[in-house]
Formats: sequence, structure tokens, C-alpha cells
Amino acid sequence: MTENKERSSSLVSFSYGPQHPGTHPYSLLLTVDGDRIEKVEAQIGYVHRGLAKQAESRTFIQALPIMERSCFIDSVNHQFGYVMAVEKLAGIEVPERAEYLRVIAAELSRMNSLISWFGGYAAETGINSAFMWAWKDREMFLDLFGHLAGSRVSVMYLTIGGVRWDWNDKLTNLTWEIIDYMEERLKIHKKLVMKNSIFKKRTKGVGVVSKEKALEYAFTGPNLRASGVQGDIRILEPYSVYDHFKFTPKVMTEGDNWARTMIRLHDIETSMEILKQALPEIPEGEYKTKVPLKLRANAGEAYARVELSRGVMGYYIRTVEDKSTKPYRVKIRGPSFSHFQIVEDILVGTHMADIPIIKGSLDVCPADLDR
Amino acid sequence: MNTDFLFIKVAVFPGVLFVLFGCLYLMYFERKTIARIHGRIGPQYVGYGGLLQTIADLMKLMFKEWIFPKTAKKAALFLTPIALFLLAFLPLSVVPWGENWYVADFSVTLIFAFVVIAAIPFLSLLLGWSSGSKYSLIGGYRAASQQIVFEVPLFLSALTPAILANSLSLMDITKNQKIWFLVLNPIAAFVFFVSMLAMMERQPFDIPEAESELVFGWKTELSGIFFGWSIFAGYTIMIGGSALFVVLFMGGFNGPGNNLGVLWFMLKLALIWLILFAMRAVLPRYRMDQILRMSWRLMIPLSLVSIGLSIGLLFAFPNFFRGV
Repeated sequence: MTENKERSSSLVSFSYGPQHPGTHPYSLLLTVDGDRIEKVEAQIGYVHRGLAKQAESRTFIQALPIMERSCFIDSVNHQFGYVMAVEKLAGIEVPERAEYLRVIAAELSRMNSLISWFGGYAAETGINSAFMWAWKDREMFLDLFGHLAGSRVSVMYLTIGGVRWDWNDKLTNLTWEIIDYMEERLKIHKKLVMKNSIFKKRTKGVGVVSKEKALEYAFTGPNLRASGVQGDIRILEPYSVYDHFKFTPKVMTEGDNWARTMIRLHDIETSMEILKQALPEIPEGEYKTKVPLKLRANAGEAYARVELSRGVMGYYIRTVEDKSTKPYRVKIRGPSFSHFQIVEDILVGTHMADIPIIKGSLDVCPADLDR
Repeated sequence: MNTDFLFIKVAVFPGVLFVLFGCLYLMYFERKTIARIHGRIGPQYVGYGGLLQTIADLMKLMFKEWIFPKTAKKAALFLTPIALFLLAFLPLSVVPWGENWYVADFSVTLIFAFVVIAAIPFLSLLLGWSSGSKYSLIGGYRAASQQIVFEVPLFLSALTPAILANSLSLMDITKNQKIWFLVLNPIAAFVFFVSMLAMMERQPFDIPEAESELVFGWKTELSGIFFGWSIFAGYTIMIGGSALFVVLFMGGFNGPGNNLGVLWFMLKLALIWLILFAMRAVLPRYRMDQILRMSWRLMIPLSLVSIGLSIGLLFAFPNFFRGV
């Protein structure tokens, strides 16, 4: 009894976030005993915008820019799932050239997202140089998106029935440039960060998520693969033209921060492999099927899912009336929510200093978390 | 004790003005160097090449509003940063910058410098407590435990120069240092350097102010000029720590040429600072328990070994060391 009293008097609880440089807009209610974490309560919802609900009051095409706002950093992939779901619902055929262009844009967006995450993660451990260098590398992608679609961050390249603009030789050259550049840069990043003994000490064996736990919390993407399960749906149920390419996303069994970091760096290499195979093979033809501006779909439902840089994103669209111009119900399933839930579990028992390292390694996007 | 030009020495060099401008331009060169490593440009608009940027920053801090939490103990919160700054000043008064350039010189200056340094952790803890915020408190605890734990190897490794030079006076240690003690006893130099980094809270030991965990550690709730004082204190401690390293292990003002002592001292200091800047740019930070373990299991045994090595050297070459 007295022991309990002493223990409870040494507990301190405070709110870690939402106004905190280490958390984006979400908060963790922490109870700590000295440096040990006793209890974590995650509070989210600070950036809830009701994206799915907004999409229900707009026509199918008007909802495109909203879908991109799920998370700005991997914008092409977010649209990819939505356009696939709408095409399934309305029965629209997409030309093969458009599928190739979509895959190329999606892989570029994935690389952009992964390298940005890598820089941010390095900065959370304290390596500010890696952050600056990685975000300088990101400029290459943004410039290419500028040439591709006219905007750098919210790319808006995909549209229902294809892509909005055709590809050209200049873009091919720029993409090859990016591939060559990133191959060199990845070596530098690995040398600076992954070979650093302090970084190894901070990440190896910390924040371990076992295979069972990963499946229990519905992990997807790199986080699942770091725990020893091949969950990349580009391989398991290939959408678009992913079955035309040969690539093997890495699987590791450790399940710790280190494995998650390695998997993500390897994912950049995987994307480069896909780009190398896709670029010479872009077929001739139309880049877009003509679709009426006020697209009408019959009653029914459709579900499409895509592999994001951080996990699987699913889009469910339902219409109840024939020839409806707006969806009756849109449901978005994002990866960040299921990844973020686990912080209440794995943070307990770790040190306070491990919080940014562990939750950073899960690659949670708060915008995707709340939507 | 040499009292010629004592006023100039206290007020200008190596006293108040030198340290104040030293801090300002240390900040400037740190920002520029780190910007280069990051692939940025750094400050460039205020003054030629941004040379007046840090002065402008200081002016801004002077005129900023003071904002404190309701729970803060105001007197302690106002006074501690200034006390910290003044305290950080004191070790610099006994550092011999040149043969004639020092403020004070007496027989136990080494002990004086370390006695002053030993008081720093209590002030960081006091500041963390008086801020009335939990982040500051945790930062204060971290700072205090880190600094207290690294004081032991710091002091133990500082014994090596005293043993080898047969003196507790920084001036005598410099004069008796014909070969750098860094070369004679690299273990002690290594331990001193690492412990000094921990005392200065610089990367990879910036745990008390780890931004991604603790906002800004024990300095979180400071605002306006009080924040400025604490930053100045940090840089003064940095100048003091690296100056002590130069005196104890890199031969102080010794160097070729007559009357060039100050220049040599500054060059050696600049070399140390460049290393510190580069470390800040590329190293991640340790975790609290990791550095505590490192201190007890690695640094303290190593510093004891270094003392043994020094005594061994003394017995092996008695003529070389007694001859001085």
C-alpha cells in the first residue's frame, strides 16, 4: 500500500503535443515515471477535415483534388486509388499508355514521399544534415512534377479515364536524371545515417513490433514488411500494370526502427527498378479516355486499393440511384490510423527519448490520420 | 601577479568585450559553417555577408516581450540565466591566452576553474524547476544528471596535465608543455573532450534540450533577453571548455615565433570549434540512459587508466618531466 503510494507520487503526467515541435497536430497524454513511460493515451482529430463527406457533395471529378489532400506528400498515389474505384463503378476502360504513365507518376511520388520521410526521421534523431540533404533531393521530384502537371506539390496528374497531360521526351530525360542522381544520393544517405553508430544504438532493438502484433493492428506497407510479412499489394494483387514489372519489395524480420528504416530506403530502390523497366516500354496511343465532365454512374459499389509509400489505402464508393453524378457514400481507409494506434502499446516501458524515434519510424501522416 | 593594463584586460581582452563578441561571432560562424555542411547559405542579409546578423538577433531579444507561465518562480527565473552567464565567465579569467594576456594567475587556477564549472548543473536544475513547466523540469533534471555524471571523468582526466606538468596553475601547465599532452596521453585528452561536450550540452550530448522530445529543455519557458542570457551562457561555457582543452592538452599559447602566443591559441581554438560545428551537423543524439552508462562504464575507468599512464610516464622518464 505504502509502496503504491510512493509509486503514484513519482508519476508525472503531461500532454506531449499538440503544440510541440516533435508532434504534428496530435497529442499524446503521457504518464511517466522518471524517464520511463507508464501510460500513453493518443488524442487525434486536430486536422479533421471530413474529406470523405466533402466528396459526397461533389461530382466524381470535382472530388479529385480533395482526394489528393489526404496527405500532400504522396499525392499521386492518393488519387490513384480513387480514380480506380470510380472507373470500376462507372465501367471506364483506361488506355494502356495512361496506365504506364500513372505507374511512373505514382512511383516518382512514392520516392518523393520516402526520401522526405527519411530526412524527417533523421532530423528527429538529431542528424540535421541528413534532413537538409534529403529535402534538397526532394526538389528534383518537385521540379519534375512542375514540368509534368504544372504544380509541384499537389500534382493533380491523374484523372478519371487516364492522365491529364501526355508524357514527352524531356520528362523521360528528367526521370533518368533522377534515377542516376538518387542512386548516388542513397549511398551518401546510407553512409551518413545508417552507418552511424549512435543511430544504430538508438534504433536497433527499439520499438519492436512482432509479426503477430503487426497483423493484429492491421499493419500494411513497409511497417508490415519490417515485421516479416510480405504485404505489398503491388505483388499480391497487382493493380494497373504492376504485373508487367519484376520487382521484389524487401521483407525483414526484426520489426524494429532499424528494420523499418532499411525497408523504406530499399523501397526507393524498388521504385527505381520499376521506373527503369517502365520508361522504355511506354506504349503509343491515347493517354486518356474521353469522359463527360458530369460523369454518371449506375447504382452499385466499388472498392479499390493501392499501395502507398506508407501502407495500403482503400477507397470504397457507393451510389444508390442510377445515373447519379455524385457518390452516395465514400469511405477512405488510410494506413496511418492503424499504424498510429500501436503507440499506446509499444511506447509503454520505453524511455521518453524513444517517443520521437518510435513514432517517427511508423511514418504516420497526421493529415491522413484524421482526414 | 602581473597587474599592467589590468583594466584593459578585464574590460577588453581577454575580458568582457572579447567574450561578448566572441559569443556573437561564434554563433555567426557556427551558423555559416553548419549551413555550408547542410548545403545552405546561412545568414547573409544583415551587414556584409550577414556579419551583423547575430547582433540584430540580440537586439531583437532585448526588445521582446517577456512571457512566463503563471506557475513560474519569477525571481529565480529572472536571476538564474544572468547568474549562469556570470558563472560561465569566471573560468575564462584564469585562462592564459598569451604569455602576458590573462586576467588572473595564481597557484591553483586549475582547481578554481573546475570549482566554478561544478556549480553549473545546480543552476540548470534551478532554472528547470523555477520555470514551472514540466518540459523545463525534465530538461533540468536531465541537464543536472548529465553534467554531474560527466564532471567526474572531466576532473579525473584534468589531473593528467597537472601530474605531467607538476603544477596546478594553468600558466605553469602551458609553459611546461613542450610536447602536447594530447600526444603524450591521448586517453586523457579523449575523455576530457567527450566529458567537455557533455558539460556543454553539445551534440551528440544535447539531450537536455532535445528538440523533438523536450521542446527546448530547461530553456523552454525563457523569453526575451533572459533567453538571450541563457544562450550567451551556453556559448561562454563553450568558449571556456574549449579554451581549457587547448590549455591542458594542446599546448596553450606555445608555438613558433615570438609574441605570437595569442594567435596560436586562437588557431587551436578555431580548430576545436570547427570539430564541434561539424559534430553538431552530422551526429544524432544519445539517449539519457546510454550516456549515463557510457560515463560509468567507459569514461570513468578510462580516466583512471589515463592517470595511471601519466604516473607511469613520470616514472619512466623522470629527467624529461623533472627537468622543466
